[in-house]
Amino acid sequence: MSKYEYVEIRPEVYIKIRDFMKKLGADDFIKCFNCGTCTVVCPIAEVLGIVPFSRKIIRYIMLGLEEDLVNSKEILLCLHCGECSEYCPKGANPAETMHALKTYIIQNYLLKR
Amino acid sequence: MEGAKLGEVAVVGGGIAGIQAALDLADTGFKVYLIERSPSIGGRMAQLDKTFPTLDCASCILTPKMAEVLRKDNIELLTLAEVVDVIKNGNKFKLTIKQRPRYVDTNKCTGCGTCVEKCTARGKLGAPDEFNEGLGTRTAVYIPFPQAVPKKAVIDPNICLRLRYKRGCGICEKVCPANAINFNDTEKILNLTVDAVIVATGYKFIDPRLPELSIYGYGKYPEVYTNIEFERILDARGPTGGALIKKDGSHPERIVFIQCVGSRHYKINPYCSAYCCMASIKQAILAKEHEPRVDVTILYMDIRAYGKGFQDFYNRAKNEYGIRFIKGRTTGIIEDLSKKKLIVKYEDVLRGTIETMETDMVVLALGIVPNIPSFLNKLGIVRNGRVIIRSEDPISTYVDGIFVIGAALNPTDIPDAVLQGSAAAARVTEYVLRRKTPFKVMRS
Repeated sequence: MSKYEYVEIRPEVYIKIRDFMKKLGADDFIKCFNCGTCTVVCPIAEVLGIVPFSRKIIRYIMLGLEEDLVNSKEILLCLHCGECSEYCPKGANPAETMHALKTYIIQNYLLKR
Repeated sequence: MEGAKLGEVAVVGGGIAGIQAALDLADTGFKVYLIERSPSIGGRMAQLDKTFPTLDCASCILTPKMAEVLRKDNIELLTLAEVVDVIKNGNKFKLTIKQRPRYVDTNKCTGCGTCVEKCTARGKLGAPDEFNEGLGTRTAVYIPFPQAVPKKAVIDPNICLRLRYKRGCGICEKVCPANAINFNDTEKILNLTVDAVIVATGYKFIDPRLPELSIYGYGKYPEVYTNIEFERILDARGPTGGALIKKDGSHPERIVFIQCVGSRHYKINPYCSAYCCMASIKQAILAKEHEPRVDVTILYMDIRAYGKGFQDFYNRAKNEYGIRFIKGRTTGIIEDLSKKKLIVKYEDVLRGTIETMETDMVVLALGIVPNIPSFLNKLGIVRNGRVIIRSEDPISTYVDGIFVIGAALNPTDIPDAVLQGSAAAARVTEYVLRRKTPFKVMRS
């Protein structure tokens, strides 16, 4: 029942996304240490069964998995209620990250299509 | 021993670090003033049941050292005393110490406890017991704990009926066989001149009632405990006599430990408090030993088992005692009133699922911050709530002759605190002798 698969880590993609986010002032996500607090408070994670949102998304950026990131419908479903940023123990601001990622996806994919 | 030949040293704080420093200095031949804020020395370690990672009895290590402080002729113990001001004058320090009244003559009191039995301010009229972290009450005249040093009674002026109303009661004065009660005791200001000061003021817990920590419901739900309160419940000298029971007297089926409460949080204390992983593992093992059927879960962020024997201790807890370790962080505790259970919701990070757990007791592993006395602030060696130390020497500050050790410097466990106590004693010896001997002492 192995649901794990090997992925290729791409640091250059991480740096690209991080620089983009920095321009938008949303590079707090580099403080994340994957504690899972955001997932527990997220109002849509459990209801829509997209656990572990938003920890997963930040993990995708860290590993540079751009395709997974772009195909994640969760980012576009995010309500920006800000609960995750409120509870985050590191101040990594996941809500802000999701907002900026929307911009990233629209600029790099939806507009170029 | 011929005291005061080498010099005089003040040790501020009578916890395990301060006691160790005072004993080592006294053995070397210094006159030591051990200044303690509470009525008895011992500090936080006196409240502990067992120590990690060996599960040794804490008081078996501490109590002989405390008793030795009294036996040494060249240690002068000042309890209920606080250092108000320190002025550096040449190579000497002038200390102003405010000593609160004990209302009991320490030369006459034998520590028999007759006054404690007869005291009328008890129960609702009493005060929360500091030694049991407020889980029990104590009387107005009390002996802090059975192994207290000095084992003398002390009167709390806030609740003593005689001291509050200036008349009436006074039953302790009548029953005391040694005639030791003195209601006319007053606050004293003492002035000391010493060669060096060792600061071992320890730590304070982060307040679990902070708004950022209100999600854990401490103070709202009766079965949410801090870890020092839980330690008192496990202790045979504690409020329950060593029985692991809830506040309503029933036995818990499940206990959940929540780690990193108030530490590693950017709004409260961004640093790791260092002791809580091992302390929670120790308490989990003790809970299992008290009640083998109880289900113990530890919700952690990272297990930081950095010291000697710590990793083995963690493995033993996991494999031998069957304690569940779940990587995850809860964001809130809610109460199920019909079942009288607490519900903890968390994400199991390693599986990626959101889960809820019903539990009877929740133990919060509180973070700690150094307890900085105000005179260090005046000397200008404190930044952001931490004492600045020299990079080449981890206990010396930038004021020559002031040494900071133990948890006053950084969150420390007991072995490190003892180590730093001895280190400070050696440093003080070197520092004082370097000034007194005519020879030039080599210094690296």
